Amino acid sequence: MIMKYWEEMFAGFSERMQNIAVFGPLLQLSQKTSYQEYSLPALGLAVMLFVLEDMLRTDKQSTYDNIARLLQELIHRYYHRELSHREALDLTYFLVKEGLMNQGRPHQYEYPDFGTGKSETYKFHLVELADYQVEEKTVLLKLSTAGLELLFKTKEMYNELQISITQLYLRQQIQKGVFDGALRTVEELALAVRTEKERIRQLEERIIQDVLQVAREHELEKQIQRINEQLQREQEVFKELTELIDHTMEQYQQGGLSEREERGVQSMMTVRRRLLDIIYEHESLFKEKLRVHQLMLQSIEAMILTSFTTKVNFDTEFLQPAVGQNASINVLKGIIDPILPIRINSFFHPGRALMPQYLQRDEEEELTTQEVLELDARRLREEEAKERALQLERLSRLESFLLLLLRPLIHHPEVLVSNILNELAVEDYEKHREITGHMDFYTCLVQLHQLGVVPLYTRNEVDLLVLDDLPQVLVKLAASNPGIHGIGAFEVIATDRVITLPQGYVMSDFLIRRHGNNGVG
Amino acid sequence: MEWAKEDVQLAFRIFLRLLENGQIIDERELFYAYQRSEVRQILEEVIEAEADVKIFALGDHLYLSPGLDNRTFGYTNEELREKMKLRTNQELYLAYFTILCLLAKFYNSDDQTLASRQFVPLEELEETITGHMRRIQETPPEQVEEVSADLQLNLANSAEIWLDLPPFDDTVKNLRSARNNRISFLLRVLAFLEEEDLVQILQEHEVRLLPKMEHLVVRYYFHSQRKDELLALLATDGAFTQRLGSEQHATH
Repeated sequence: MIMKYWEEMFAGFSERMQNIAVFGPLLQLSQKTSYQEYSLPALGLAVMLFVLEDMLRTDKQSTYDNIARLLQELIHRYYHRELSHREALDLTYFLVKEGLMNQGRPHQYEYPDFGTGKSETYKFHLVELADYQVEEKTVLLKLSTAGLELLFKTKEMYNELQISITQLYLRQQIQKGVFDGALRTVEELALAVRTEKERIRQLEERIIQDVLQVAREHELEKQIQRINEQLQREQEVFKELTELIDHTMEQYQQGGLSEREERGVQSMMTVRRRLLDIIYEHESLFKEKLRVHQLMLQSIEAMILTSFTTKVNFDTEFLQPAVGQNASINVLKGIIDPILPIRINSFFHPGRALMPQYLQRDEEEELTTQEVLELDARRLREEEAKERALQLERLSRLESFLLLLLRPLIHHPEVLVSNILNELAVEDYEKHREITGHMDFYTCLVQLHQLGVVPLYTRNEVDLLVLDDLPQVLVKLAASNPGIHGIGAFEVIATDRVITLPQGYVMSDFLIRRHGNNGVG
Repeated sequence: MEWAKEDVQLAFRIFLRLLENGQIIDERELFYAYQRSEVRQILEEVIEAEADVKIFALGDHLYLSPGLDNRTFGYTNEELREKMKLRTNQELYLAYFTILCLLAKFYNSDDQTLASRQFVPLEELEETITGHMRRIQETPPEQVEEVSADLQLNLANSAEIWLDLPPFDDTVKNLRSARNNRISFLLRVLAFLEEEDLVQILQEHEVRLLPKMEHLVVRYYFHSQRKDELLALLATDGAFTQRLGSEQHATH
């Protein structure tokens, strides 16, 4: 009895300790001996908020220079002191590099986990270097997942609930007509979706680097489960939000609008446009989920093949023995050879003398403007041809998916995707494998589901020019296949059932239902 | 065993593209080809074995490493000296040592395959190298001399060059091209790695590893057989050095 009480009390103890630990680096700033005239924890938090704001706006402004300007301004306003830009930059380096980034090393926090009885060390970064761009010489900063969560914990909300709660805010703001606020909320929503994508990317990187650890901690299963639940819940809300925006717009557009309301409509249009972008991003999470699944399988396969469970400590295993033994140059070269570049020999062919020769130029064979233009145009043409070929391949794949999904509706009023796939598995197993293994298939289903009732028009029946892939293929299919055209309209509806595919993917089973031309089922 | 012409062509195309760039990124056709077991078999059994290289897939990237002491595709000391714009073999030795110290800064854990940090300040790298050089210099001189006489070049006689340089010269305008301080030397070596997309130098102050480097490290070194080969290389050199020392002692 006591044991059970104990277990319940300390369940999730480690997570609670980690939630507290992230505040450590900020609070420890107050113990620094430099800059004691300022409240470094407050300045540190201000810097993190600045980076958050930058991530929300996707401005890419969080450079050391800009942070220095922020600190200059803050110190001027609050402490009434004037810092030169150089002084502000020094303070920035101290605060960010030493304090928040711990000179690139993760912050560490050791604690006993009373839940498991073991000692644990939590390692985390608060601020990270943004994705690298070698050409850009300036350093861009971003908040890590732990950094983002810290800020949400101080005021707003937990990261995992972030999308749902932000969706809720957005709904309230639209209903109240607070459109500028809605625009900001929609940007927060965009950040939340991007954060989710970033988490998937981090998981991918962890899988690449240590698949065994990921498997041991069931990280993939946890993440996939979270994504599944979120996708389901959030997709519904996204759909509702789009409808709500459309409805609000309609209301505004009926009757005369005041100047303020007109401005509101403008903001609403922006909110709608951004929301559509975000919905598209959100859908791509589904694709990412499948990708990460595949990566996990590949990595496990690679691990089994190469049995690499070996770890290398470069410091103790290579560097220290090399120093201790006074290693020779060739041994040192041998150790780093694997990362050194490949050398390719170039050979001279005498026939080259007969080829057209260019006059030597001052700067190492610098191309003339004309040549650059011609080269650019040729590259562009090649790129375009490549892109066209890929697009054709994509459209033809989409056409085969749609044909597979819609053909049963010629004879039946409705059909489950699971039935279609089961029949295909019996008829043509290879094709079944190919289709269920292709990510575009799921994206296609999700897109169809979000379109609601889809009419099947031929080109002559459509007034507008159709540009998007899916409607374009639907129009083509209706025109070339009278049976499909005869279906009139259809809808892809989510059901409570779940399909598990041979590759281990889990997805909702969709019902495809025929509607008449008037949209009535 | 018979291989289809098309598979051999694909394997060869992958190999040639890797030779050209050292990596394949975002080329779906070649990546899909690599997924085919027949193509992979040709790459492993014929191309890797005959060319003495190693091809790795990570996520949707492919990499090629020349491996250990590859006479065909690996650079010689002299070629590398030119590429890194170094004047002597002592400097080249210091360059190799710098790269090893850099890797040791990021991969210094016994139980993790992830790099242990985001970046390293150049000052910290410089201090680490200087620490090791001092340790070597403090080794009794006769022991060092005995060894260096026959091996000609090693850490001990490079230590002096390093320690003779001042850590930094704040009068220098172009840090990368200067030759009179340690930080400039580090920048020159790191610039070579930067050109190969292996690291990124941040505002001439810090260095971070790029994915290509991280992937090469994880896939090449974190492998029991290859790690053993490297440890054996180090051990043989050590044994050779010690043997040489004692033989010379006996002769004296």
